Amino acid sequence: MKSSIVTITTFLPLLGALALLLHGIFWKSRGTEQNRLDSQYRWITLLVTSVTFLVSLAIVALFDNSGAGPQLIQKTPWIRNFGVSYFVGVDGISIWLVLLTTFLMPISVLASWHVTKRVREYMLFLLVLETGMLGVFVSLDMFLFYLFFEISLIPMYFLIGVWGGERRIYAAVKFVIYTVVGSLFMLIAIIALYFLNGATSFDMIEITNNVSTGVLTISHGTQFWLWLAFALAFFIKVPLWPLHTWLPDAHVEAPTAGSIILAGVLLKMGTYGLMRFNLPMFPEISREMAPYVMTLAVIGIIYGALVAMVQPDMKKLVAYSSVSHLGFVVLGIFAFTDKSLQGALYQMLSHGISTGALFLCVGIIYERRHTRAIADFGGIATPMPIYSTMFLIVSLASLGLPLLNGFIGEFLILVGTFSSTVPYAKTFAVLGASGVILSAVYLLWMLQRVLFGEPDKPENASLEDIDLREKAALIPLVVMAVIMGVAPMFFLRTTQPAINSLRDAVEGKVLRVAK
Amino acid sequence: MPSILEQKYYVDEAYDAAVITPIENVSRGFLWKIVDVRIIDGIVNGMASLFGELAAFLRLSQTGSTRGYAAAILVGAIALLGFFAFR
Repeated sequence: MKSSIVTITTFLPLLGALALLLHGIFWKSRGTEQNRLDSQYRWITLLVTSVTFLVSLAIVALFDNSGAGPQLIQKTPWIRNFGVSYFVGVDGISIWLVLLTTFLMPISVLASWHVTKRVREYMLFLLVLETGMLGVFVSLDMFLFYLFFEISLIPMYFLIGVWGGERRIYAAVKFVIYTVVGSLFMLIAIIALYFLNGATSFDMIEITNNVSTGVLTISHGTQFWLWLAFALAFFIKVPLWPLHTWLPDAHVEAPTAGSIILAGVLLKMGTYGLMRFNLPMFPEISREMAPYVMTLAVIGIIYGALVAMVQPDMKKLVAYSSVSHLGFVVLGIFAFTDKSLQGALYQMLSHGISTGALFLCVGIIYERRHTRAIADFGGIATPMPIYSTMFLIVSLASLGLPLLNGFIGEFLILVGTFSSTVPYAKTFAVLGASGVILSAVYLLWMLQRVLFGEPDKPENASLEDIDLREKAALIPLVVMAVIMGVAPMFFLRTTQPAINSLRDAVEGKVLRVAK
Repeated sequence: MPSILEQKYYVDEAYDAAVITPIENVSRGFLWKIVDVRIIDGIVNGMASLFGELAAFLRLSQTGSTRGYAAAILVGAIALLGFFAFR
C-alpha cells in the first residue's frame, strides 16, 4: 500500500473516468433523462477528484522531509526490450506540485457546474487530464514522462476546442501546435540521452546521477543541443517570452476550469521540467546559458506586466500577468542559489493558487454578465460584497502582499537572485523587482475599475452575490493563500533537501562517487 | 482659495502626463499591438500560413490522373537513368 500510494493517486482519476463512462452507458440505456444524468456526472467527478485529493494527502503524511532523493517509489519493467520501466515516485520538488494538482481539481469541477454541453465528455476530459498532469510530476522514467506530458495535452485541446469561447478552434490548434513543436524536440533529446547512456534505460535518476558523478560524459557541443531541445519544450510550456503568444488566446477561449488548470498546473510542467532535466542533467550548459535565460525572464516579467496593464479583457489581463509571474519563476531557477530555487518552487505553487483563484473570480462574474470586459463593470462591490472581498484578497495575494502566498516566492527569488554568482544577476534582480510594482499597478487598477466606484450600469446593480457552490470553490483557495503566506516553512522544509541537492548538482559540487 | 492649491499644485496631473500616460501608450500602442500581435504572433501565424500555402501548391501535383502519375514516373526514371549513365 505504502509503495503504491503514488500510483493510486495518479490513476484514481482515470479509474473515475472509466466509471463515468460505464455509468453513462448503463443508465442511458435504461432511459434516465439527460438532466439527471448530467447532474450525476458532476457529482461523480466531484467525488472522484475529492477522493483523489484526500488520497494524495497520504503522500505528504508518508513523505520523509529529510530525504533529498525520490521517495515512495515504485518500479516495474514495462517494455523490457528498450529498457522502459514504469517508475514513479515523489521528491521535494514534485510532491507539492502533485498536491497542487489534486487540490485544484475539485475546485475546477465546482467551477464547471454550469456546463451543460456534453457534460459527460467534459468531465471525462477533466479526469483524464488530472491523471496526465499527475503522471508528469511523478514520472521518474523519461519515456513515461514524455507519455504523460503528451497525454495532458489532448484533454486540454478538447476542453478549449469544444467548450471554449468564440475563437476556440484557433486557440486550441495554436495551443497544441506550439506545445507539440516543443515536445518533439524534447523527444529527440530523450532518445539521444537514452543512446548516450548506453541504451539500457530511460531512468531519469540514473542518468542524472551518471552525469553528476562523471560516469556519463557528453561532449560540450552535444550537451548544448540537448539542453536547447529540452529548454525549448519547457520554455514554450512556461511560457517564457517570446514564446508566450499561445497563452493569452488559450486562456481567453478556455472555459473557466480550463483556465484554472492551464495556469494552475500545466504551466508548471514547464518550470518543473527545467528543474528536472536542464539543471541537473546539463549543469555546465545551464550555467553558461543562465544570463541569456535570465534576460528573457526579466523581459517577460516587465513586458508581461506592461501588456497586462492595458488589457481591456479581464481574462487576458490575468493571462499576461501569468507571463510576468512565470518570468519570476524562471529567473529564480536560473539564479542557482538555494533561496532562488526555493522561491521559484514556492512561486510555482502560489501562482497556481492565486491565479487559479483569479480565473475563478473572472469566471464567476462572466457567468452572471456574459462579458469579461473591464469597462462593462464598476461598483460591483455593492451588490456582491463577499465576492469582492475574496477577489480583493486573491488579487493582493497575486501581487505579493506580505502575509499572503505571492510574497514569499517573489521575495525568495529576488533575494536569491541578488546573491547569485551568475553574471549580471544583481541587475536582473533589480529589474525583476520592478515587476512587483507593476503587478500592483495592473491588479489594483483592475479592481478599482471592476469592484469600486458607483455602480453606474443598471445590469450590475442587481447582481447576486456568490452562492454556496462558488463559496465552496473560492474559500479553499483564499484559505490556502493565507496559509502559504503565514506558514511557508511547512512547505519549504519539505523541499529544502531536494533543492539543496539540485543546487549542488548544477554547481558541479556533487562528490564523485567511486564506482 | 486659489485654484492652484485646490488642485494640489497639479502634481497628480503632472505625474499623469509625464509618467502614466506615456507608459500606458507605449504598452498599448507598441508592446501589445505591435510587438505581441504584429511581430511575435505575426511570425507564428506566418509560419502556419507558409505551410498552408506550401501544401496548397504541392497539392496541385496530386491530380488523381493515373496517366499523369505514370508519365511522371517515366520522366523520373529516365532522369535517374540519365543521371547514373552520364555521371
